[in-house]
Amino acid sequence: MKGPQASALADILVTASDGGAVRLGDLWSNRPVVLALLRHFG
Amino acid sequence: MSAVRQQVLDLDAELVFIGSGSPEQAGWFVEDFSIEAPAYSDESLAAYRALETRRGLLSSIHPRVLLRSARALLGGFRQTATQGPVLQQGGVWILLPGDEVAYSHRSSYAGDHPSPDDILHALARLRRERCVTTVSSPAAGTRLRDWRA
Repeated sequence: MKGPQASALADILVTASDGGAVRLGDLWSNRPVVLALLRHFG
Repeated sequence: MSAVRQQVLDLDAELVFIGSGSPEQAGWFVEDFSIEAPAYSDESLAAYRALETRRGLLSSIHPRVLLRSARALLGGFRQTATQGPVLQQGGVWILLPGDEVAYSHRSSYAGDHPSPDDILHALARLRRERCVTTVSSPAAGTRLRDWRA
């Protein structure tokens, strides 16, 4: 998947436990990321 | 998955967890399960929607869920109180620089996870095929890799 859908994913903001916002795409801007979406925490 | 984080790091990648619970619950998740990988909260489920994850009662009561649950229990895993929408499924993806999805496993039902070996093999293959530029920087003692090939 590449293109608008992947770019839309990259622009999504998630929140760290300290409350800080992180842009998803920044996580894999310079190295691959294994992104595990959990059913739930716990 | 968290058990293979060091192997993921050794392949010049990172493991990241996203959950649908609150940021505070993400903190508890990291603390309670001694997770060393970063974990983030996506209460809006925007990432889940973008990756077209499954959601609904049928995916949560799939017959294979019972089998996977029994296997997990026998393996010593116990599910604690759920922290997030209980009918939401997840999955595992590998994202490359340049916003490319290079691997995807969208969970069909609870407990439908790819094996860690599958993930590590995919990462190793990607590193072999796609990481073509390695520049040594003797002064800094660092290696630079180009994943955009």
